Amino acid sequence: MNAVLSMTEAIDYVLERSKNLDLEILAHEKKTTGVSFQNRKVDQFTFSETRQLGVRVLDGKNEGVAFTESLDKESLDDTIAQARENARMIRKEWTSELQPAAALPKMEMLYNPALENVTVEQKIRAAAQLEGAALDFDPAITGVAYTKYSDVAARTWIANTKGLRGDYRQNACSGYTYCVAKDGENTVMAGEVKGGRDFEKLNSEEVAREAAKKALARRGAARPDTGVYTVVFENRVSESLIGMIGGYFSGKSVDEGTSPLKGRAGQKLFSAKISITDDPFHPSAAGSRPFDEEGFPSRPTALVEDGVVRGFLTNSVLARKLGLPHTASASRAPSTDLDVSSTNLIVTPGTATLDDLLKSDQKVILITGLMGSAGFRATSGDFSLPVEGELFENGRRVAPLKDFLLSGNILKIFADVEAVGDDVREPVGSVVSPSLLVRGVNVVGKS
Amino acid sequence: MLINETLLQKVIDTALSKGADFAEIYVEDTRKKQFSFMDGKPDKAISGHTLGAGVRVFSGTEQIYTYTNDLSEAGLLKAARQAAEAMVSAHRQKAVPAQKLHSFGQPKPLKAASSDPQWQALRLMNETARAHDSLITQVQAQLAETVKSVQIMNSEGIHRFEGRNYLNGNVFAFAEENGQKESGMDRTGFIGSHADWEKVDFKAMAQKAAGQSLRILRAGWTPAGEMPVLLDSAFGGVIFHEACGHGLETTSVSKNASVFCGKMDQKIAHESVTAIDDGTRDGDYGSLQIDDEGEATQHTTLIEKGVLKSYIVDKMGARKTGYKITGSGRRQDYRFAPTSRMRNTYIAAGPHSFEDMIKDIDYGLYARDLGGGSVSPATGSYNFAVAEAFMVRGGRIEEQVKGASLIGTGIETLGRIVKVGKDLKLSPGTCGSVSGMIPVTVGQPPLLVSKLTVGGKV
Repeated sequence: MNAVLSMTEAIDYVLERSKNLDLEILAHEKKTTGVSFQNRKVDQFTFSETRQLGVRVLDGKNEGVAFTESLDKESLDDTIAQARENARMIRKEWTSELQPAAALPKMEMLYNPALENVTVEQKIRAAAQLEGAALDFDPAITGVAYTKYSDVAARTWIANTKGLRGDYRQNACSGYTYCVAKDGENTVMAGEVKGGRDFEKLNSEEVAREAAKKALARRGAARPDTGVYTVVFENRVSESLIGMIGGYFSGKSVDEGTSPLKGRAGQKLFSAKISITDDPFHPSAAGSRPFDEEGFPSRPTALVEDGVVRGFLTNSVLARKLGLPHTASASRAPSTDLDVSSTNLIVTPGTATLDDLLKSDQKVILITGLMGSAGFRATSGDFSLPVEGELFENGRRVAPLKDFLLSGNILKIFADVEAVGDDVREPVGSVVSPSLLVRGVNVVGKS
Repeated sequence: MLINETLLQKVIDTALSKGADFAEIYVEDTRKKQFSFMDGKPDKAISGHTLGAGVRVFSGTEQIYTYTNDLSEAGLLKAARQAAEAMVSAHRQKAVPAQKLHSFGQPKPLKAASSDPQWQALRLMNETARAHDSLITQVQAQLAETVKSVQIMNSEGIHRFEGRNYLNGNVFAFAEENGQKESGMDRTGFIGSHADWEKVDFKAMAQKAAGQSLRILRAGWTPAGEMPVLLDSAFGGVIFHEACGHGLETTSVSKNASVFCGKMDQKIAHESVTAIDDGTRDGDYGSLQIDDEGEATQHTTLIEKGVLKSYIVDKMGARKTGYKITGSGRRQDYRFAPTSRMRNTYIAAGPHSFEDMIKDIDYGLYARDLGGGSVSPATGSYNFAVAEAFMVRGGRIEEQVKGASLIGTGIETLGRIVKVGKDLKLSPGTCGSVSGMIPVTVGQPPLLVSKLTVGGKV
């Protein structure tokens, strides 16, 4: 085995070896811990320390990418050679230009040093509570199917042969519990997940109790009759729906002609109640970052304003090619080629409470969970999606609902949003949305 | 061999030093090349080198897993010490010395091969799909070649090595008419090395993707409702994979989080159903010589004539449930501890002709090609998407309808498989679960399910 370099040594080495090239480095280092309990005993304990270094070589109009997880000199040399070889095969009509040396912004909020001081014992206790507090909640909880405490600390570097160099750290912890309860002959399951950068606020007992409450509330679920209903998508489900159309705003899919929004900027395709922003500065959502993966400082972008499609996300190449504003949305992993993606998709909250939304009509179905997304056809936006929910009559919860689907077109759903809730939750991922009220939704249950 | 035996033994000894009763090290070296075509020209060429190791220890049913890509002696021993010291169980046991080792096989050397055949294939798929119809406005195609070497040593005396070469690819065609867009796709995936690209009929793949996109573009919505569904062969097998397969993995069974718990030797499906999970099929995408715990892979009969005969069992699953391992411990890569996973999973051929099955349907759906799906093993509720379907009336296949999702629960659906066809076909796919994304195949002959919920237009 050859001597293994540290990440900064490896970056120095690659830059030194590539002085005569246009080359960009993107590198990650990651440490994780995971603990899960089963039947009140440790089930699995995981530690890891990994890293990845990727290079992108630009040679006139040619571009190639290669990555390695082995930070010895021989592997690094081989990675540069592979990227150069790949560049010989790929000729781009519109090429990237390396960002010149610039002071890159910092984003201190992504990293909480206190999280590094949490002891293994504290993590084990949190994991024990994530299971135990659910089992203790009610004897009707017969088991915990999935639960885990996990944390991650990562560092990202960008550097290029034009002298640009920057890095940032981020960390986070999370916990989830999915409880199982007997329901006559059947089994029901429901869960809760919470994350953040503050271990003290994770409150694993609360996560477990919430999961248990939700599982118990699923008992006695019935199938709704097939028909057309007024539906409220609970905030977490709205977030999934927004996540499904996130790619529609990619300048790349517009360029490639695969986004249904292509050529429709300025059109009112969403309900006037809907505004969506790509916000890289959100304090607690998972996609925040100080600069993008070409090294351009992050900035927020309005995607939909009062229902009107306002913008598409671009990197430096797509901005030039499509003649669109540059939104600093370059995304790339060490192992992938240059692309674009959203950071955090944030739906502007409205003023209605969830209770108000549920009182909108005599009969309302609250959609509480999406059971799979394979039935979404991104190209057309048509969907047929399995869901879980609850039936409300005159604003009162009547029964949980199971074994049914919603069908329609996702853009039509967003065009038909009649009210937007005020109930955004603490982010779990990189999408934040309140609950949404939509009338006239196809519900497929009992024939 | 990736790491010499003496160092690996040292790692095993270190991992066992605090009282674990089992220790294992998994070392992986993977090289992958991906090429893609878009907008009628080469779009991406990416090479990657993944290298890492995972150290796993057991104490009873407690499992510790540490992984790193520092494969120096110091890096590996650090991972082993970390695993040993994390053992928090009260019932620490006396260290078990590693048994005498024996080695199998040697890795296939990596060859620097020309990428010309891949570019030719990508070009052919692009041209074929575009030539299929003027409504085809975009074609995306990609091919990847993976050369993976794994080395596994454990404290029970296993020291094994396997080279695994995978080829996989897909093509998407996009059709557009009057502002409406649809896509169609086809895929391939199998065990093979560079020279085996010539076994793939790329033209047929492109034609299938293009044809599918046009057919879906012109299809109306499937009517919603509960109806009999005839699921065609090959990727139709995703129904068994989701409805039943995941629920038979000891990952779920050992937590009492599967509807198939406690059902061994009981009738759980219609008597026409025999289901197999087979890791030994030559060249199939889910095949292995050894699993990711170093155990020889097996041919496992899961259900025989409707009766549950075996779960899908990994090493920890065996400890927890008492069932014998089936050589089914799998993981995406060294970042995941292995767990019980499917390999090539299919329903065995039955006696019925296709015509014989269609003629029984008075009003129902013929699902010719399926998309992906998912399941909640604890409740048994599963769903999967239909890519292409046709209405069946009075025993005749009629108009094409746009794909809908189908939902059901595992045991109920297994009981409703009333006819099994003759013509078994398998199809490759990627399965995602707790130990990551792994290559598998699904398969079946055509199956007639007497009733499923079809999520179409109300």
